[in-house]
Amino acid sequence: MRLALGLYFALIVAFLILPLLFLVPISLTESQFLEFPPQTLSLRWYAAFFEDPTWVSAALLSFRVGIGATLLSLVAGTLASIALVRAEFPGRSLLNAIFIAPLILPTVVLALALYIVFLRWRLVDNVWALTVAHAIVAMPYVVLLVSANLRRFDVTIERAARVLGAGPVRAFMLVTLPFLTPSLFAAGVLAFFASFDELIITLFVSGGAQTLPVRIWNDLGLKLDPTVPAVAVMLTAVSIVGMGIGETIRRRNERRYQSETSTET
Amino acid sequence: MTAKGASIEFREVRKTYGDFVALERFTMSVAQGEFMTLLGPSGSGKTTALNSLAGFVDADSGDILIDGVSITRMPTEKRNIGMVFQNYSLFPHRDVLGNVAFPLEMRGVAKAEIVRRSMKALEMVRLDGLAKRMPHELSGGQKQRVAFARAVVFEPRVLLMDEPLGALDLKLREAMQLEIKQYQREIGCTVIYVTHDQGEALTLSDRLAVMEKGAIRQLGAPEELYDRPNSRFVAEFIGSNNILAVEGAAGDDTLVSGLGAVRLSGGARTQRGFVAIRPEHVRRSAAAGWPATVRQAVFFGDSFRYLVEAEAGAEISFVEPRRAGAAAAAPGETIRIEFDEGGLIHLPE
Ligand SMILES: Nc1ncnc2c1ncn2[C@@H]1O[C@H](COP(=O)(O)OP(=O)(O)O)[C@@H](O)[C@H]1O
Ligand SMILES: [Mg+2]
Repeated sequence: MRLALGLYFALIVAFLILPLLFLVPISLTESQFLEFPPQTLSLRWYAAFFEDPTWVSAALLSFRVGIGATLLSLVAGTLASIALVRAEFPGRSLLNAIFIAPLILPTVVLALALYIVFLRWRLVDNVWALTVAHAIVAMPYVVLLVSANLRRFDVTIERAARVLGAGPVRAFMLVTLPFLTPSLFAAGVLAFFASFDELIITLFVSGGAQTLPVRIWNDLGLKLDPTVPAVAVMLTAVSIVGMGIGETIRRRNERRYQSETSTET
Repeated sequence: MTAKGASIEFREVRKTYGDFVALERFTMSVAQGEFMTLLGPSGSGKTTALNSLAGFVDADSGDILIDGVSITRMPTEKRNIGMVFQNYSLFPHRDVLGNVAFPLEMRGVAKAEIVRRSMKALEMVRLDGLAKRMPHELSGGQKQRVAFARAVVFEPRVLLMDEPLGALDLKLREAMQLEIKQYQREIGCTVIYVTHDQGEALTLSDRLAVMEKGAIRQLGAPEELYDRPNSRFVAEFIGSNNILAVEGAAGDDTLVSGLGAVRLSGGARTQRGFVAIRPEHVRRSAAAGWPATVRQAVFFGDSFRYLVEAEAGAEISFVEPRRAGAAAAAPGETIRIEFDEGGLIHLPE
């Protein structure tokens, strides 16, 4: 049984990192074409990425939309979490399900729905609308992480702030928000990459504006030069570093502040 | 000059959660500078009463007044109340000084003044050396002191404490009780204190209210409640008591089950209810009194605690101080017991 589980685990991990094992050598080729294994190594295709203004502008658009979607989903998702955790109202669990839905719904369905709405409201090819669409996809991560954290928060700490003279908003900002910082950070990282990697919805609603994933997708249809694997490797590296930093900060904060205040003690 | 403590009045406050009545006809007046305790078992509505005064709970009906002014529509932060919570509820990301300074910051006090007053409050609780510590670096007793300093630093006229010592061990709890009482005398504020520990309530309070199922069962000075409980519930909750059911009356005597005819204190005559006998009001006697068989004799150092069974079946426990030369009774031995004059209290319900 143990052996079988171990084998299964090894297979899954291999399956997950195998593509990367191919991508890295392919991206390092000197040749015009995708070849494996590469004959000669070079960083040529990495340089090509930065020299091509269309690649750079796609990356900038991705960052811009990603940061916007992150901020938007953090604010909206935190407010939603407060309502879901603190307030008692009929249909609360239904609302909870709705906030999580984008995670479960087939992305094509969501993309089609957004496309129809955006067409009607003339929002196709609008960067702000695209940011909102990405925020919708990113919000479930925020709601899941923040509401779980908020449930562990001892409300008497916020009450202490209230009775000692802070209004409701001030008490939240000064006491609850610092407590939530670790989960907000983790949620922010996840939300950013949910947007940064997003392809399908962007294809439907961006109306030709190219984010990085869209640009990769379009390239696949035309010519396939090793810039694409180079971009893919860089994307992966950015993701790993970003998630790593996020997780480290989250853990450090959690150790410092949350052992005290969690109601589970 | 205004008094340092405010007067507080609860008028017929009622609070329900669905079908459950958490607070019912809760009426209580607390005088300026008084130390009032709410005493009751867990779930009896003590916290609900305190929270309705603090503004965390909206009462369904009734009114609450501070210094004669209704505060039921006033937001929590405007009520100017100091409060200490059971689990301390310190702000985890602020150091000790930052915690104590919080109420002053909220009141827009000047920076230098904030530090001066916070340090003074910390000196009072003897923690001025730990101003830069974070809450998670403090012991339970230290956290409790910080919470106390934070609650009084802005000189509130009302101080609420919800089982503030509940999380501390016995020794520390007893030491902190004395400290709390002393600080309250220094500060002069009105205190409402919540506890389920009757010993704590008797030690600290000017008056106390015994609560059960959301209502006050009896309110009075500690001695009054100890000597004249008005019900079986209060008699059992405060101190330990032998409680026997009343079976009827015969002349000036009352008949109690398991014992027989007894003379109640104050010459009360009754057909119903219960009779309470404090263990310290029972004595061993040489000749007169009720014959009883010793069931248990427990050594307590300075005293023996006996459990005896009267001939007619009543089980009675009592305490006997140890005296030089006096032999203890052994289990199985038959002795005679009698009661102090005025030691038998009638409980109507
Ligand atoms: N928000 C709430 N919803 C439902 N019931 C509650 C709520 N708060 C308190 N109660 C109930 O009210 C009763 C009294 O609670 P509380 O005032 O906390 O009692 P105490 O402090 O004396 O232990 C308890 O039985 C508790 O379950
Ligand atoms: Mg309570």
